[in-house]
Amino acid sequence: MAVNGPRPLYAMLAAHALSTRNRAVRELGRSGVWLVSIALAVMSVTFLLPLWITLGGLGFIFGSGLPSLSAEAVLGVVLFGVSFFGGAMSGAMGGAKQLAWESYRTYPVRTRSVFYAELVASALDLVPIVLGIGALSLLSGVAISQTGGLWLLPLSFVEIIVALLVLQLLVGTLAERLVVRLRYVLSAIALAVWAGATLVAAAPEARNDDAASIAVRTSGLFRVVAALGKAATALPTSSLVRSLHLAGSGQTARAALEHAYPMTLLALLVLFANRMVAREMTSNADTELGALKLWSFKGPVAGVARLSFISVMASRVGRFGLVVPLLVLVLVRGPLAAFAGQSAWTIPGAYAYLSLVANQFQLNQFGLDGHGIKALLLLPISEKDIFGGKAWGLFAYQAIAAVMLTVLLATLQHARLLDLCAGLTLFIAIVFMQNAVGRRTSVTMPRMTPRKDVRANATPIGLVLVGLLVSIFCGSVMSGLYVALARWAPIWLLPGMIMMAAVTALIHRWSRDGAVRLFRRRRETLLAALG
Amino acid sequence: MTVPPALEIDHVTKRFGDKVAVDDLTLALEPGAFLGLLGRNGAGKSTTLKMVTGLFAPTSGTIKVLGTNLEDDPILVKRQIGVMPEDMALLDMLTGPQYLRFVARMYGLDDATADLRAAELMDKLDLVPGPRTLIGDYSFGMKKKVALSAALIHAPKVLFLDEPFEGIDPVTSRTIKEILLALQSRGTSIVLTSHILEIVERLCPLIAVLDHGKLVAFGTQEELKKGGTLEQTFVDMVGGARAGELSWL
Repeated sequence: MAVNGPRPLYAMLAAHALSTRNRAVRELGRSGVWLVSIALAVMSVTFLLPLWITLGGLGFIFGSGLPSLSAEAVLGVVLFGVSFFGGAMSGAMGGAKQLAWESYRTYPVRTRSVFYAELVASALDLVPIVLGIGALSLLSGVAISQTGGLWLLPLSFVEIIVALLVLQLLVGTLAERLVVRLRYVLSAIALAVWAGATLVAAAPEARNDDAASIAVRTSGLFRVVAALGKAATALPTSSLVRSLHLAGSGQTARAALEHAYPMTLLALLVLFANRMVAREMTSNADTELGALKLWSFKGPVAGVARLSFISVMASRVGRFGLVVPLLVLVLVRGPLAAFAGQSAWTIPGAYAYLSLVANQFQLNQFGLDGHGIKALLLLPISEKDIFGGKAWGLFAYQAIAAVMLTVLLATLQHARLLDLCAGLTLFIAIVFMQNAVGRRTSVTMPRMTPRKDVRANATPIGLVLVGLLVSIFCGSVMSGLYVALARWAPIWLLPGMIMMAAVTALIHRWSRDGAVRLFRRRRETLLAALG
Repeated sequence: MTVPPALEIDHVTKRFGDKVAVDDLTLALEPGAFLGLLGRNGAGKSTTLKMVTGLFAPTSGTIKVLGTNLEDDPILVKRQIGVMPEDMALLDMLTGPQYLRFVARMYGLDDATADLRAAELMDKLDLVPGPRTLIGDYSFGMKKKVALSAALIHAPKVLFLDEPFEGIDPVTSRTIKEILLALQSRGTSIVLTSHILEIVERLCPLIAVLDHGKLVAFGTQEELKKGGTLEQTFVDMVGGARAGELSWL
């Protein structure tokens, strides 16, 4: 008989918390845990705290403007963005996978219990923590401005955070389903991009900038904004804002009633997500089919490279990565074009963003091997050859994505050949950098990468921080050099990028022997974590 | 010219923090020897196998395989040995035939030889996976057969098998025993760990018993058993048998 109720839930959460703690202590050591905690505390104080204070202030200012339509719409939209887009974004990025579902299948636990445990455990993901505290700050500001509404603050916050967590879980589950049908999804997106690009190109250029035309466009914009503002008051989060105002003005019953609408929606969302996740959990995982023909290779490096390439291509995250060039193009032609137009950042931004796709493969190169790492270590191959093979395999995977993006940028964005060559060279430089850093993180912070899962599997916080630093460095310093050269010395753009790629290649080569020595020293750690 | 021992373990100790997993182990095996390495759970058998196959580095002591110091030239040693770890350690994202081809190529066999040997091994071990099934989706027994095939495909001179009979059906188990005896008769040295003492008794002329990381016995079966059974000898050596029922049943 299946057991339900709080006991299995507590047991799962306790097991999850203890294993997370033990893993962190084992990987980082007690001093490492303290160091990471201090780094997080510093980040919170220097970056997050000011953000939260600002949000609290904004909440107070807009809260004081209630019950005006504009204040209600702004607060409703912001809170909706936090819960809906925050959850969707985090789910698409791979958040929320916390519990080892497979291991719970053997116990007499209802899938509902696993779902709720998953929901609670995922509250400790980075995005829910940052956005959750942001939403709490904003709501607190509103509640303080409506003194009598403080008692409804906890309920309003819980509704927002639960919506965020459920959406995170739901989008992660749906993303996986999309990846399973990657061929169709890629075809559909490519068709949509092509159709969109063709329509945009065919549209008449109506850029008449005389005063009358600007006035007409401005008044049209105001009408659209007004309509959107009115529509925004229908959002469930706007009901929460209204309830705080009503509670503040002493209308307790009406304030409580305002929660009926968001709570009903939330209940439906939870039911739907529970059903989707349960279906995913109880379905037999489909077999991923790699290349079924027998393949051959010349030497150990080529063998490991081929193996690494096949592993990435057969994994769901790897397949998802091939959708990203299309997403980048959508960004370049859509939101980025609206904000930055055809700025010098477009090409380097597109390539830098694309490089992020392989970040988790590069920084955790043995993750997809799992316990197969032992098979590699038992074979007569040197650590240098293993690293070499891993690098070539990942380079091949990233090259496919880069070629896809280049073709899309050339045909649909009509980017210049020089810019594309420089962008590709920048991409190569970033890949060298990722791989050089990844060789070290792969043996110091190894973690099994799920082959049949898009969602993350308790990535070590140290790895998250290193990934963040690499992305910031590549996105700002390396792409910044591209932009600087494109703007002030365009003739030096390609030579400059080639030089940068050469320098990163040298760093990559120079750092190899140290990484190999580290690999030898950390071999047992690697086996303990993966084997 | 003297033939070097197949395996020389000289005063090897392995510590994990404060815990001593293997304590000052010394033993040597002649070429063609068939050793059954016995011990209770946690006695240090798997750690010993991990050290002699290069997965773990000993804290102290030296290991030589066919005269080559493992620390000096691990690649040369690995070319001459075949290993089947207890947890098999396969590459889950490949099919069985793909994996065997991969392993064979890594040992330097050409494609034709690799395929021929893989086909023969799969036939002998009755390994018939679906053509599109990945190893990750194989049953436990099938994984075991693939791991054994991978350990044998390059005709190693020394073979290390950690619990090869666990989870294997009786028919395949018999085939494996025949393969191992045939290998030994051709001069391959074999080190095998198993908790199934009847199999060890039937296959291994040499026995080593580890207890709490220490070698407590090493010799031929006749020397150790002294007319008794291997099971009784083993229990007498390591002790710890607890009789009685569970209080709550």
